[in-house]
Parts: sequence; structure tokens; C-alpha cells
Amino acid sequence: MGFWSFFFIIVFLGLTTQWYGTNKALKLNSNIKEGPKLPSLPSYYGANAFLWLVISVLFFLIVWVFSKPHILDYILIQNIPKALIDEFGGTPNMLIDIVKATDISNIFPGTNPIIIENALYYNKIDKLSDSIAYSIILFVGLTVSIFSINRISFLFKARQAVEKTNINLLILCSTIAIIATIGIILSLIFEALRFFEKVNFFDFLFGFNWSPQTAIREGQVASDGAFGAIPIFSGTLLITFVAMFVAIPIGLFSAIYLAEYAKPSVRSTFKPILEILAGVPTVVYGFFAAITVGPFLKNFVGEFGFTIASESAIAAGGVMGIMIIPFISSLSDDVIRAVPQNLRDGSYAMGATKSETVKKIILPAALPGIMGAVLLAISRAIGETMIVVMAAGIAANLTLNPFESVTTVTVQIVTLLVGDQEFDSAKTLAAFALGITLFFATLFLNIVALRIVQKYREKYD
Amino acid sequence: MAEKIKISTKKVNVFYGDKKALENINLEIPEKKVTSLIGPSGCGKSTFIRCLNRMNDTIDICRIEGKIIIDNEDIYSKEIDPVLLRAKVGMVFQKPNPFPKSIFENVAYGPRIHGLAKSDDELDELVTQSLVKAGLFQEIKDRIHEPGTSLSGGQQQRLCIARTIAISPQIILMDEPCSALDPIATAVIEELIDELAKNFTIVIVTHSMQQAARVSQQTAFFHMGNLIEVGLTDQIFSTPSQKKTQDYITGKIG
Repeated sequence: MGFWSFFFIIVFLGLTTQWYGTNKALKLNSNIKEGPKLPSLPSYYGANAFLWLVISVLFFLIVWVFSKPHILDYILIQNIPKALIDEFGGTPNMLIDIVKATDISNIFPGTNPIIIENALYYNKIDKLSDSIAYSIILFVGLTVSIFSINRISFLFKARQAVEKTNINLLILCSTIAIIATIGIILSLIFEALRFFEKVNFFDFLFGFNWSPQTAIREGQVASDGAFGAIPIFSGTLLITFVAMFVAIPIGLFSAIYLAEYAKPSVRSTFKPILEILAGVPTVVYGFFAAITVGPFLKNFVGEFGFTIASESAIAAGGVMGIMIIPFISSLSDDVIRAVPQNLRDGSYAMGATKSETVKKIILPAALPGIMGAVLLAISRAIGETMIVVMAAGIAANLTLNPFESVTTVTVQIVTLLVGDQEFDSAKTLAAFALGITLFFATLFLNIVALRIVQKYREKYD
Repeated sequence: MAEKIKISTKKVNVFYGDKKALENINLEIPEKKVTSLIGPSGCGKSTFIRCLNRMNDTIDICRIEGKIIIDNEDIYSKEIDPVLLRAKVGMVFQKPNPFPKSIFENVAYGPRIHGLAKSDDELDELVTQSLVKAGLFQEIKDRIHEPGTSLSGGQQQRLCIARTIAISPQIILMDEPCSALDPIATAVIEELIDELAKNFTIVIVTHSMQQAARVSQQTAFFHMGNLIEVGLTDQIFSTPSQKKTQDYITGKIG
């Protein structure tokens, strides 16, 4: 049985169960001429049976997906001759990977015939095991659906049961999100710890020299490796700062204009246009920064006697700022409009002008939302990679001069992980250390910002 | 009436888009007296009161014809700045709307924007005086720096009155100021209105005929966008000249 036939049988079984459950409840009710009927509406009895069927099928399907590789590996090892395992160094893992990776429809000439034989065998048990598992799950589903239809009686409160199941499903979904986050953080931490076995923690965090391209082969020309993260964190900060310097005033002021001053017709044209900016792929911004803005700035600033690198923090940061404008303007526009009209009326009735009202009443009341928008924009700026690669360079210069070339954490993570790799070299592991440091830096930033908002917010209801 | 006339409206028509909300309103409002506007919901009394300080300017589709004269000036003429007008004609709203700031900052808001206090001490004094005049000071003097939104509904409404009188307007417009309040808080505000009438011209929109009878000297009855009748409050409630007024005050319509 293939997956799709299994899928359609389950769908059919589910719909039948629901229909049958509802019908049974209807029939039970219609037999009652007087006195209490079923405690819940008939449709709930159908829904309850349906939910139980779907949940049990999903559960066993997930169990199968996770246990299948282990079971198949075990069967495969039993089938492979001991001699061949010894030939591959006594451990079967590599051999199993080779067997699994062999494409039986396109076999290279000269492949070991035992491997081909096993690949065919693997292909066979792969399909067979799926069929068996699907049949078992179908049988389980059928049992569950018969069981839950049998349960329909005057004592069973299906409405409450469905409610409970719904709550549990919602809890399950939010738990999955949390577990995924924790998993990502844990894997970052463990890999980062391996990095710190090779490189001193404080040398990493407070070192001034970043030059991670170490040799991974004999005779390769490369640096000895220096993992001082200060230059790239300062580069990240510099570029983020430039981006915010552009995005916060423009975004916030256009939000104020849209929310408070613009006529509805103007607003309904302007807002979508601003939001188009968010839809431009970052790589387009990247070459715009590298090819248009960079040279323009070089000429423009040159007029005033300054020198500016062709790849500069200000070109990348400025274009990044443009990219981020819609995040700030769109979100701020929403929170500004959410400030109740009666606060505006109160202020106007005191003889305040529009700008006084905006400054003293509306912005303070909308502050938490605006702060949220800014935080989101900052995370976007810190995480942005493509624009920086193209317009600010990959050289880790320690500078606060926006006219020079700098690099950022995310760009370094990319350059560390492209090209020749060795998974346990300090160079590769450094990516994890950078990742986790960036994570904690952003987390810290968020906490500080939330504190500030709590302190200064003006609650309007 | 022998009193000096503070506000007079001449042939005022108001439109929301194509819909006529008020038609040919001619009304004279005496100085330092309380004038109440009564009438069923949707009769245009709130629209009318919002014309008096040009709050309707903030509504895009609202259009006004005719003249509204305050102190011999047409407030809709080009020379009048609505912002300055509103400092002279204050307004208290139906739902208490204290700013999300401290009690002190709520009252200090107007004086600050209009530069009415030269020093911090003067501002303190002005705020205290306004709170005293609004009858709120005794209750909240220990927590003047707590948020205005933490007060009860009636206290919030008196805070809004204190905020309005802090900028020394000449006229105070009140748009159903007690409709969101309980009877005790209402009684306190009504007493306050009596007190305020010594210094301010007050125009109050109310749904409660008892309230109109209690607080006002002049009453105007609006119906379907028309001013049906205006006169001394006692007269309106005892011997109305129009049938519609009679029907309304006896509960037959509205």
C-alpha cells in the first residue's frame, strides 16, 4: 500500500466515522419521545469519533516515521555478509549509508555486486515495511473508530470531550514551537562549547583580531586562525546603527503622516506602496547598494574631500535602512491608529495643535507598539546578510567610521560555512559560537527594550 | 432676556456628506449662565455643540453653513484659528477621557502648551487651583502623581473638567458629561456645574430632562435636526409653547 492510497483510505474512514457517529446520535435522539435526550448535539458525537480516529492515526504514523530507519538498518545489517562489513573497517554504519545511497535505477558500472544486491533488498524492505505499517495503522484506526462510535450513549458528554481534545491539541501545537526553539538553542550551545574547547572563551569574546580562514589541508596557504569577535560585533553594531538612523525617523514620520494627517484616499495609496519595499528581495537591495549607492557615495563624499571605501558600512547600512522602513512605518501606523479617538479629541479640545497632540499624547500612548516595531526592525537589520556581503565587504575591520568596509556576524557565519569544510575544526565551530553570542545579544536587547517600555508606557485602558 | 449674549448662531446648517444633520439653527446663549440642549438621540444636539468649538473640523465629511458668533466674531471666518478658539471654548466629553498621564500632568497639559505658567511653582499653583475648583483636590491631593486613569469614573470626569478650566476658557461645552456616571457622581458634577456657572458660560447636552431642569437656566429643545423651542428652563418644562416639546417632556416621543 503506497502512502497516497493509505491517505485516501484514512480520509474516507474519517468522514465515514463522523457521518456514522452523527447519525447514530440522531437515531438515539429520535427514539426518545419524552424526557431528556443526548447530553450533546449529535454533530459533537460524530466530531468526537472523528477526532479520536485522526489523533490515533497521526500518533502511530509519527511513531512509525521515527522508528522506521532504526528497524530497517537493523534488518539490513542482518542481511549483509560479515566479510563485507570487515572490509569496511568492522563498523556497518558507513556501509549502510552506501547501500542506502545507491540509486538502483542508475547503477555505476563496477559497483560491488553485494552492495547492489543489498540496495535492491533495501528497496524491497523499504516498500514492504511501509505497506505493513500502513495496514497496521489502518487496523488501529478502524478499531478506534468502532470503539468511539460504540461509546455514544446517554451517559457520554461528547461536547465536553471535544472541547477537552481541542484544548489539548492547542497546547500540543504551542509546545512544539517551544520545543523547537529550545532544541535550536541547545544545539547551538553544545557546538559552541566544542568551539570553546579549542579557543579560549575570553579570547573569542574580547579579542580584537578576526581571521578565521585556517588551513584544513596540508600545504594550503591560510592564516593561523584568530577568533577575536570584537571587530565583527562592532561591524554589526555600526551597520545596524546606520540602518536605524535611516529607518527610524523616515519610518516613524511616515507612519505619523499616514495615521494622523493623510486623507483616507492618500493613505490607501501610500501604505501599499511603502509595503512593496518589504517585498523586494534582499539580494536586489544588495546589488542596488553595491552598484548604485556605493559608487554614488564615493563620488559624493569625495566632493567634500573625504575618502570612502567602495564597500562601506554607510552604503550597506543606508540601503538596509530603506529596506526596513516599511516594518517600522506599517506597524507604527497600526499602533498609532489604535490610540483611542477620544484622547485626540480631548487634546484638540484643550486647544492643542495636531503636532502637539501627536508629540505629547499619541506617541507616548503608542510607545510600546512603536518600540516593538523598532525591535523587530533591529532584529531584521542584525540578521540581514545579503546586503552586507555585497555592499560592505567581508573584511573584519575594527572601526567606527561608517565610510570604511566592515563585516557583520551573519556574513562571517556564511563565509565560515561555505567552501572546504571540516566539521570539527575551530573555523566551522566558530559559526556556532557566533550564532549563540548573537542570540544572547539580541535576547538581551529585547529584554532591555521591554523594560524601558514598561517603565515609560502610558496605558490608555 | 436681559443678559449679555455670549454666543449666537445665525442660520446654521450642518451636513455630514449629503446628509443634513442640522437645519437653520438660530440660538442665543447668554453669558455666565447654563444653557442645556435636550432632545432625543440623533436630533443633532451633539453635532451642534461640537460646532461651537469647531471640533467638527476634525471630521472630514462635515460641512457647516451659516454664522456662529462668539464675542462679535464669526468663529468660522478665515481669520479665526480653531486652535486658539478651542482654548477659549473648552469641552468636556461624554466618556471621561483623561490622558494616560498622571493627574498632575493631565491638568498641566493645557497650561504647558499655552505657556500660562512662567515657573514650576506657578504651574503647581495653577494645577492645584483647577483641581480645587473642580472639587477634586481634597480627594486626590495625596496621589496627584498617580495615573489619571486610576481614578473612578466620576473623578475622571471631574479631572477632565479641571483640565479644561486650567486654561481659563470663557465657555465650557459639556457633551452629556454624566451619561457614563452613577447617580452620586452625577450629583457631584451637577453641583460643580452650578458653581462653575459663576465664572463660565456653560452649554450642556443632556439626555436627562431632570438634569436640564436642575442645572440650567435656559433650555433648547432639538428634534430631527431642528431647533424646536428655546426659552427659560422653568418655562420650557412648565408651559412649553410647542406641541413637540410638550410631547418630549411628557415622554410621548423620544
